[in-house]
Amino acid sequence: MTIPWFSANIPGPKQAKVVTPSMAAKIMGKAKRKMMICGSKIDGKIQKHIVDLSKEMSVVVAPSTLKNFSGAGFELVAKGVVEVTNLLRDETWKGFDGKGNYDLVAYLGFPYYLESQMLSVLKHFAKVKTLSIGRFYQPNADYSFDNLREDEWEKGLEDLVSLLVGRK
Amino acid sequence: MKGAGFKIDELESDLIKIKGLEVTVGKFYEEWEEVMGPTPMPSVTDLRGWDFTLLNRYKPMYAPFCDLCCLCTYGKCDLSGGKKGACGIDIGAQQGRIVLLACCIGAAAHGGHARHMVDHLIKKYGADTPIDMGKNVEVEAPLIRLIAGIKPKRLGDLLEPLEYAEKELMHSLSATHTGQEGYYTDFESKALHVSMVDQLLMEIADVAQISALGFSKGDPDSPLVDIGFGSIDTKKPIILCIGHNVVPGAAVIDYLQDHDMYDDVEVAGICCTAHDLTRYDKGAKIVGPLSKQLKFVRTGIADVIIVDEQCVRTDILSEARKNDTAVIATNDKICLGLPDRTEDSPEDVIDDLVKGAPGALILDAEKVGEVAVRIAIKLSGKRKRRALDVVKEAKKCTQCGLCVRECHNNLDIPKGMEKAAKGDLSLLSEIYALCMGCGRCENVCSKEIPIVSLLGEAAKERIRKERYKVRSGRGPIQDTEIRSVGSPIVMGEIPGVVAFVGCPNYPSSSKELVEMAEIFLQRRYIVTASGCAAMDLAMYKDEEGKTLYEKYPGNFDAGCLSNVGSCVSNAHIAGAAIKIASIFAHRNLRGNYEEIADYILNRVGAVGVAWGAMSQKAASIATGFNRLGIPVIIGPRGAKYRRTYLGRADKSEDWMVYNARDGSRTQVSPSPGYLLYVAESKEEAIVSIAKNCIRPNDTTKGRQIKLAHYIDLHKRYFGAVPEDLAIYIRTEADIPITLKAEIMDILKAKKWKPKTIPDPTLLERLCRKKGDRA
Ligand code: SF4
Ligand code: SF4
Ligand code: SF4
Repeated sequence: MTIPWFSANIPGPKQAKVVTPSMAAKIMGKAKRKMMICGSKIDGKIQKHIVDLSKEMSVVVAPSTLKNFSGAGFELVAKGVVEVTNLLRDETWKGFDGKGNYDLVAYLGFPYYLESQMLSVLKHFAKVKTLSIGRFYQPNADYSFDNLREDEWEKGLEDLVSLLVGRK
Repeated sequence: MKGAGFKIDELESDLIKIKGLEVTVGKFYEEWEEVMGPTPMPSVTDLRGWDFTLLNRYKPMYAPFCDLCCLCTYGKCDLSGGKKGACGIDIGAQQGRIVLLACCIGAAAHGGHARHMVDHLIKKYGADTPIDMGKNVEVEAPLIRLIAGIKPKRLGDLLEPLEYAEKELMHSLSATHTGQEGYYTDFESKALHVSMVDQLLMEIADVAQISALGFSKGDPDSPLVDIGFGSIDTKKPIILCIGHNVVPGAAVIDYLQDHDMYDDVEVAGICCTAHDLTRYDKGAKIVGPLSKQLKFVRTGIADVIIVDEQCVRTDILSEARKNDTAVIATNDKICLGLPDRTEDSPEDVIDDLVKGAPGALILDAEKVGEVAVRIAIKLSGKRKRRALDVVKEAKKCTQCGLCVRECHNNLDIPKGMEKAAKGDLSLLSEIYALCMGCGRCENVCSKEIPIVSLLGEAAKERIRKERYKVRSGRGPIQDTEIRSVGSPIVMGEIPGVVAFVGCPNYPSSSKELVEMAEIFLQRRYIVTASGCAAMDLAMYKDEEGKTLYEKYPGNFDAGCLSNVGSCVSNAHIAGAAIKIASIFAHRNLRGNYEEIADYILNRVGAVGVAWGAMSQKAASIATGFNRLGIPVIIGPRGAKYRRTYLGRADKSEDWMVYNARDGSRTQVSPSPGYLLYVAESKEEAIVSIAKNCIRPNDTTKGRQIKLAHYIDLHKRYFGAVPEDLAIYIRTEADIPITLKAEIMDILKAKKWKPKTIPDPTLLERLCRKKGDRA
């Protein structure tokens, strides 16, 4: 069993299934209403992936990173993660596009502990499935990448994006 | 009601020996002409209606740490996936229960402190010692007046509200027992209740010590005192006080002054005891906030460590042993397994400590004063400080990376070790500045490298330069200050009051806190601070070598930075908001909690910021502010409190208020948007602070000013005009003039329509005439 990145972060019997990038791509591919939620820890490399993934799903970014996305050529919503996570709890919420709540959300680019707590909210109080594609295993998600080395993770994201949207 | 009392200093007969007996019959506090409000000394359920009004708008969002409950032998119970525990509890109620428990622990810590303080001061100075908060402070104890419905005149008058608070704490805590409360909103209501009680307890503790120990009585020019490792004179014997209860530390200063030795011995403190030592005497030094504790103890600079209560490392004894530093425990909360030497002669205790006994428990402040001074003088210079070879230690590192996983901030210790092994200590020194001194990395290091000590050694030069000035805690806000800022705050012309409070569990450098405070100081908000946050605000200098406290005056006024003092001084921040309602708006205080909280929520643009909140006390402090209608923004680590209170701006029905003018219902702007919000980054916090200072009652001029700041900060940090701007504009007159054209276009696109500006209240009973109800 994968040990959470922060070893004491063992929430209980229900823990995330570890997924590879190709499994993650399949899960995302199958979802009908998916959204990616991005945190403040986004650098240029990851940003490139987010821009690509935006072709496949709605993207919410941390307001502090909004500036970096100007001119990225896609519609994005900037909202604090606590606020977005709160909205996801509400089954009657209409989503950012007015088409209804989501069936899958992927988290990327957060401080480990903050993401863990937000995933816990959804694990216990929402129907939406969660996927963590950060560098470290997040037991509170439904599906999570394993604990990865930086290079492994970068390659993993690259693979995920290629499988999902293809890359020229 | 008038009381009568007598006091026997010493009576000795054949049958009995009585010392220091004081008997009081009845109550001494003056009858007070103000009409008693509906809820003097409210019970657990008396303000439940107000709580539910708040909780209906600001719904709790829970983030459980754990799927399980293990509180009784039916358990462990797995509460995930909608399962209930053997007692029937579900995961939501269980989180409410955990939150209530945290708030009870926090209130109990302040309550224990207040009880010790009041009992000690009554014993030492007498129950008739007047409550004196200074000549410009007539509303001496706004929380006691508001919650308990009394106006205390003497120390003895503090006993009744104290007993009330102890009773409420007991009832609240009892609700967490298996098979008691079962629904999350009622757990939350009790958490709000016990946290209101916590505010009362903080006020009792601080009013008592200000009155009896001669602390600053609301002086905006309280002295600038030394803070930082570098300000400690290591040539002198050093006594370090850690915790929150100043009584033993004050006794050290008394002993030194009585024996004309104060210039020869250094008295320093960590955490709130340090604040209060400087309030007692400006010659005392502050090492720094809680985050400096392990780092400083590891240096072995202190000859004696005195611990009192709260936020003391529980391994302090073994840590002190590493440098043969003597430890004196002084409080029943923290006995550390030490022998009780209270009744022993100072000579015997000193003798044993000099011979190497690790420490002593002494539950008599005067004796602590004497023993600490004499032992510090004897040990000073005699203890061997163990040298640490950083390069040699760093070479042991295998780069396993376990330390990074345990580190709160994922600090790159292995990289620092790699460089240090080659003789370059720069990265370890940088890591030192970001490290909050928890010591968890050391627990997992298979090579047993004393990582925290290495960081300290590598940062020696940096540490030597840690020399700053902080304004000593001033205590209450003066009534005269409230008179001058009350109107501009309520009208919105002073854009807000921002209070930086709480612990140093920051997500990154403490410098972020300084940056946040300065932004609001420059924009002429009223900035106030307490506790460890007030210390961290002092620990950066600008290019001219000045700290914020040297740059900005200590008044409670626009563009000023006031340090109210220690954790218990938080009561004065709540007190200032209450006094605006009472002194400026002439609302009755006495037993009138709900009306005052409603006033503050709708009119007083105040926001608390607990960027590094860590303790259960911080949980109860924040929740206490929330019940009073003041929102609090916490840093990302605050998500681990497991509960936020979030409003939904998109739900118009949540923002309906009564218009007190005619009882009609009307919708207001969704602000404050949250009562407890976790911001991920400093940028998000800054913009949230500005937004959450908006209040339904703002005049159009006030709203213009507040929106101008919100828009400007949003543009500066997020690079765009806020998406939600239109919901804060009630009439065209709310639009900042310079942005009118730009904003009118936005409003047109959003099909904006003007709204009425009501005299807002959430309490139907405050409406002057009943009209149509939605
Ligand atoms: S208190 Fe209730 S949920 Fe907790 S262990 Fe006992 S039975 Fe289970
Ligand atoms: S002591 Fe400092 S470096 Fe070590 S785990 Fe704690 S914060 Fe990280
Ligand atoms: S745990 Fe110890 S050995 Fe491992 S990387 Fe950290 S300092 Fe080096």
